[in-house]
Amino acid sequence: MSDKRERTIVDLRMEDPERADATIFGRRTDVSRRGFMNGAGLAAMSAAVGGTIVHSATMPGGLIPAALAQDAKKAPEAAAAQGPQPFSFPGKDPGLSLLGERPLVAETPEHLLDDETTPLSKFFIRNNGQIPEKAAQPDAWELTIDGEVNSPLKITLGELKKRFATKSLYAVLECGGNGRSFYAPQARGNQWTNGGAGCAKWTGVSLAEVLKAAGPKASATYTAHYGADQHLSGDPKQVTLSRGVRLPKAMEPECLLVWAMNDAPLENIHGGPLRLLIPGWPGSVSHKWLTRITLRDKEHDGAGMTGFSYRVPINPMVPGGKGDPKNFKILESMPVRGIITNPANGTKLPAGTREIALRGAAWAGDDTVKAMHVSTDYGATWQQVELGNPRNKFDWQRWTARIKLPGDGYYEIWARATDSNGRMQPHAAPNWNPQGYGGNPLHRIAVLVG
Amino acid sequence: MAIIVGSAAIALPATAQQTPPAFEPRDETPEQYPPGPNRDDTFYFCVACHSFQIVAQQRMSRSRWDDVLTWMTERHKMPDVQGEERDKILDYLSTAFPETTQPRGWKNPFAPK
Repeated sequence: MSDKRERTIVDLRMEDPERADATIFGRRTDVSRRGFMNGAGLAAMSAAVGGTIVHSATMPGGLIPAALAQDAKKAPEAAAAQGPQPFSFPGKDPGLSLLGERPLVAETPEHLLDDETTPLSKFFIRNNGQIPEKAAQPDAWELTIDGEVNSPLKITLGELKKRFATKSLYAVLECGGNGRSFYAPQARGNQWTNGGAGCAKWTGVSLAEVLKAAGPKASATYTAHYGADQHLSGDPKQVTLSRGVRLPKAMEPECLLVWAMNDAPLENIHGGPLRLLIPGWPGSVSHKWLTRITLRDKEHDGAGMTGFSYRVPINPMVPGGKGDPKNFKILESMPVRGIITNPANGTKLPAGTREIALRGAAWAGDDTVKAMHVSTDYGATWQQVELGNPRNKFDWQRWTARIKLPGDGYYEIWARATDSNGRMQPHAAPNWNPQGYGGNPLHRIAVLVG
Repeated sequence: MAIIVGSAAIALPATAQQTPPAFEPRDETPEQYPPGPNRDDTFYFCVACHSFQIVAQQRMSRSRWDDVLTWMTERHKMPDVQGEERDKILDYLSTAFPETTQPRGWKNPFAPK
């Protein structure tokens, strides 16, 4: 099999060297046709050549490393099978769960969301494309507002800071696919549990004020957002993600152009130096590395707006079925969700423990959480918990409770939030759809006493 | 060190400026994933753009895997692989990562090993 693979690589490169670069080594040749833009590609090619390619940055694209060309039969030894790998990223808690490295995606286990404000180290990571290089001069970062506006705007981050009033708020940022792993049959995409979410303090300027400065025309009804992250394929013509929202949502006073997170300059990994924050809606509309907002006179049809992407069924479909795109609507406000942040799932408690202190958080997209309940008997009976108020709109709400246990043994603790419209979290992930949006079943942990 | 490329020896400048990548994904190999016919071809086909981790997270029927390949072509401009090649990829994916009615989200942490 390895011989076959080796021939395949060489054959492919002979036929179309640039294509082979992209398909086999994940290597993207940029405009200058030089360089490895992607670490995995370099590693793969180094492995195939049997040594480190020292000057990879200047290696011309589309050329066959001599070692490959000369000795096609000498197959690279595959690295020994690797077990589960710990998460490792500068400044991030190793307890995050890695979902994938290209694109880099990691979620926060519920018990690491125990802080009132999620610190940077515990904030989940979601990318759709390549991670851009860190901006050398953040204040020179340029944002364009165009489309259905009277005076298109091109403004640097430095000018944004000077010209508009600074605002801060605490807000949950949540991936649209949060909870996807609870669907049966399994839905397609990153298998988030409840940890594609966190609550940070965001600082920036009002999106509405900036849009108003460009003078939206009466015809403007929808936004279209663009970021600087390149598509994973490395094809510069491909848009990684371009989503948008109805204009009234964008004009809400809590929507921000953000440059600081938890009182520190916004980190590159979270979209710095400039990102959008559209709280309450799927995180994918809060574009990272924001470069452009185009106002449109109709619903945006960019990458991630159509088909089954970030959409849920209008009329319920058969789980596992094919789905009719005409029966789908855009997921806007995220559904209600509550989590237990202490104790952790799988906690062992000493024999004789008869009371446990619980802590958690709850949030509900555009709405608030009206009540939070816990059960230790699989939902037969429920106990209402102490639920705090949000510090501002779109903040999460922290909750605490003390529960009593009748004896030693295995217990499950279920937690269920109810939003301000009276909607509760269901027991099972609802309204199955191919890409698994809206999965908000109640949170369930197990503890063992004795 | 000079790298020999193509049919001619080219000495690359030693002063190349190289910005460290924002994040360097670790190497993946096909051997990390369930063995089976067509594994290696499937692996190298997919990792041209993204890590195989996202593939291995999925559990789908052959028909839904087929939909994924179509979607990849439509949404992400993946080469439109058809015929025998497509069958091989679908054979591996639907065997190694078949549909399950068990959701992945909940696992009993105390389950007897």
